[in-house]
Amino acid sequence: MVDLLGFALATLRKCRRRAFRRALSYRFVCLDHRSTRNIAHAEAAGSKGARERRRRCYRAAVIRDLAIQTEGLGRAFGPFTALEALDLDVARGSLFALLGPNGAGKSTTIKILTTFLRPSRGTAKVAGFDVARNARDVRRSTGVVFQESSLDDRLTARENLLLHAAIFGVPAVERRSRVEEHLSWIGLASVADQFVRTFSGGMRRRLEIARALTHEPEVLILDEPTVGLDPQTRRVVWDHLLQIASSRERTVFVTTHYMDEAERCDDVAIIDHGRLIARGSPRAIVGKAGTEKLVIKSEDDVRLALAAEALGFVAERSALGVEVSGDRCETMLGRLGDRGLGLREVSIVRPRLEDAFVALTGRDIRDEPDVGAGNQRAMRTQLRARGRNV
Amino acid sequence: MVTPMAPLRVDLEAIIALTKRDLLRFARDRSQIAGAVGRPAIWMILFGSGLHHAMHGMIDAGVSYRQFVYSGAIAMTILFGGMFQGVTIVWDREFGMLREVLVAPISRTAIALGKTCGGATVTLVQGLVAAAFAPLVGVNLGAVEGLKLLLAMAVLSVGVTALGIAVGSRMRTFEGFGVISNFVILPLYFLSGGVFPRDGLPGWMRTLVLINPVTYGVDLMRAAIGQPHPFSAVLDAALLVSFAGAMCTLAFTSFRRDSH
Repeated sequence: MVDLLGFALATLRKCRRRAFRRALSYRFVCLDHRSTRNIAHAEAAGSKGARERRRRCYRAAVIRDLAIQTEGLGRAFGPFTALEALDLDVARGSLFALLGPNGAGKSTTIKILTTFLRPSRGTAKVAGFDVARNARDVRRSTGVVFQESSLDDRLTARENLLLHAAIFGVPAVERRSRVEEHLSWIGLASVADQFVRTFSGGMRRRLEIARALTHEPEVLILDEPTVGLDPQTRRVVWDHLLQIASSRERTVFVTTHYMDEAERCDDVAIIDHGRLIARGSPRAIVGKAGTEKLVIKSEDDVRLALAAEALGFVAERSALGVEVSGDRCETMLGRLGDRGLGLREVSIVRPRLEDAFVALTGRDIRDEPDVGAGNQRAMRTQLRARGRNV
Repeated sequence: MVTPMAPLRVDLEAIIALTKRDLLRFARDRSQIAGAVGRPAIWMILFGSGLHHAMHGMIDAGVSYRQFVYSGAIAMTILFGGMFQGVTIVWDREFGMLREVLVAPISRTAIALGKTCGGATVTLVQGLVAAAFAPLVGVNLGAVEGLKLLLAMAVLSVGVTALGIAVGSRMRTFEGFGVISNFVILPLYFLSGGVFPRDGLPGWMRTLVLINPVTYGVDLMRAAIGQPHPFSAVLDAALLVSFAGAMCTLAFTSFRRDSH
């Protein structure tokens, strides 16, 4: 019985994954000439082998159009598994948010994608390069904004960018102009010669974003870029990120705890306990997690609740009034409105990403601050004792 | 995307850029500059003059104690400067700059080499400030002596800075620097034959002086400026270069091991 259930679940999961891949290929693939021709050729042939080849062509095209792709990605620090088996696809040119409670594996994922950590299992590709085998190419094609400031505050803004350009392989003749261009784009040209020490948190963050783009990377990775910033600066930072993503030439991969920020992204993945638990557009995730409901205040709440239940809706009384769910809001309102129940105040409550996030990851507060980092250090010493490089 | 440059070329440019960064930081750090001037001044003038009479007869005839301590004070400046420069890796790690460098498409060796080049250059500059006290302590430097002295100082700077990087790669907090200065810099300094001559020391200390690489740096500087020196200049140079090479190897391996 249990086996049967397990089998059914596994099949269901497989189907869903397949459906997702198919959706992905239709949604994002811009086939280049060669693969289009191959597919056309394969379709003309129509044989089983050709079908297989067509499938492979689609797959190849999808991969080519992924900025980040992980398969079964895992990382363990001794007995502690920070990342279980993560399958992630980030479409080229999209604005992508990775969400998860503290200790879910976000930092570990970022560390692997930025080649700081080697995966213990599975593969990860960034801009088409394997993080373990072609770390240098990955770094060349990636711009990173770390959670904590990583500027040299004894240098000026311009000097920081020039240093970055030099160590990221921007040819010497292009450096000056490239740096000027990015300084003025981010709006810091007027303070370019001031020491970073004198900068506010928001200015530092913006400078770091400009710096990460100075070598024109394909992928921009930001680890909680708005932590500790005031609402005004958060908004400015997000305007910049949206602007970067709007060209569709550059992929922006961001982790965040702010759901309002995640709602502005094209795609969202939620991970918890080192596993992917939801993936899709913010709207789709919200749709999966909860339904919209009406909150009604009326002359007689008891009568209202009874009437709603009689119509087959779910009614719950709360401090706000009666919460009615079970159908589309317009339908429910139309049918209840005909009853002469003396409705006084009606509001429609639609679930937000935050509700979905809590529904998916639970209400527990994760107290361990940055589980990955702590364990990593402990593990490092352990491994070092065993004489291995970490 | 940037037109990709050859990896080796990028590494080279990165080494230059990192060296420039250290020089810029030094030029702006008043306390470091004050230290570079103050430390040799204290040792050569105050200490040198203070012990001038007490040390009479202990050192070779024809060399005053101030002249005797000149090479030692330069060595000390290089020791302090080089170790400090090396250990700024801890600083960079603390303030995040190291992450930015580690995520760059350059090899770990290039980063360590850039740090060594930068640190050693800054250290050498500090050493040159100390060497500039020559007229005040009665040391006459010609062009040839000056050049020889510069070479000796450069090799010693590289060795000490690399040692600092090796230590800094294993240090987690900057507070440890106090311990380093007490247990690494001062013994290396006092047991280098730079402050007091080796001859009058007890046997076990003499052995320590012999295994201290800084001894040969001081001796080589003495040879360069034409003062009496117990070892042969060729031996000094050979040992000093091997010391610098060994320290660089140690620094690169420690850095690579630590920076994942």
